[in-house]
Amino acid sequence: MATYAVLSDNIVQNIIVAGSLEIAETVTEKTCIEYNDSNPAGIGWTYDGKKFVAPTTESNTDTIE
Amino acid sequence: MPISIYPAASGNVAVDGSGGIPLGLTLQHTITSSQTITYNGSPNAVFIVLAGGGGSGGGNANTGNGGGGAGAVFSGWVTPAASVVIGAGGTAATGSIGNDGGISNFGSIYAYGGKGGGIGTAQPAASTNGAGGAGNGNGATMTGGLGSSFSYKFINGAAGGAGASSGNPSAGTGGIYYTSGGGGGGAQSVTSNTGGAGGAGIFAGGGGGGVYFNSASSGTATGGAGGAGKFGAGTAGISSTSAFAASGGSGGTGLTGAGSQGGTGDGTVAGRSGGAGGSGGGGGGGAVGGTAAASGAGGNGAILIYY
Repeated sequence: MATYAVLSDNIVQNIIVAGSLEIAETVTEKTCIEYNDSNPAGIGWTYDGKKFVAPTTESNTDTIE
Repeated sequence: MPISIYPAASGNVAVDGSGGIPLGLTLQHTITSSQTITYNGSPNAVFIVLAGGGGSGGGNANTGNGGGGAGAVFSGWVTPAASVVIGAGGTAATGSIGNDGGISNFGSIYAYGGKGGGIGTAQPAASTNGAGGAGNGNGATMTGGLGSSFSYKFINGAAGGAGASSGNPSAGTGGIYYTSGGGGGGAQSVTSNTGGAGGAGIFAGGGGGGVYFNSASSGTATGGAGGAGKFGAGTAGISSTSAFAASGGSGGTGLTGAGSQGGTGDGTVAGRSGGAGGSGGGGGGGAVGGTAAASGAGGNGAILIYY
């Protein structure tokens, strides 16, 4: 069992679990790319052809009271 | 002129909040991976419990970080579908807000993923992918995103708990009406704290918030408990007492398993991870410490099929 990113125009629109790439693409009827802890993916991330890139977020620091 | 007799699509839709499985049915399939389905015989209708993937907790250095929301859950009678897509749990986050869980679908029925947990005052942007809500470290209560489809109405997910920079953060919302629990709030402060517990959903619970006691004196940090689900109790929070004590939140319980406890210890030695969400849509716990550690990943989705 592995995890796959479901792509639409190289944007990850869903992340799913499937037994193989063939099954993932059959049930979604979309292009799928496997991801894992060393090449993680998330919904809304971009696929550049080799790896997944997360959207940028603002840095943040709490104020201690 | 034709007379309209249609009910308004945005009108109230009765929701059975009990989460009960109709009597006389047998659990025929427990599916945790996307696949085509081979039914036993030729049922005309099946009763399903379909969960999206849980959101992962927030994971960041020197902030209070919330737990992820549980995946949305749909339950009801439907026509048998040829295949099912199982959403994955949100990927563990290190140095960032949590990630949303994946969407599960059974034919035209969708169960959205849980929303990722917040870090400090930052929280995931509102999106149609989020459900269940998520805890927000040191910030306001997080609003839940879209939940599961039920007839033609989408039910909002439960709200996440607010974080805190003093005093205990809030627990995630859960319970009646909301099918899935929100994540608990996290905290970073110079007082002893207990992280917000993940909300208990009708079916799946949210992840607990992480707590970092950021002081050289001795204090206690207790990670938030994971939210309970219909089929299992929530996982207790883990506690640590020391200077710079840090404890990750526990993962929430999903349809097919309980969450894990987070890591605990001196947060300046290492960041402390959040517990993974239980399989079947449990939310992941928040991670904390002086350096960024991995939050708990959300539990993968699942489907239970009865007939």
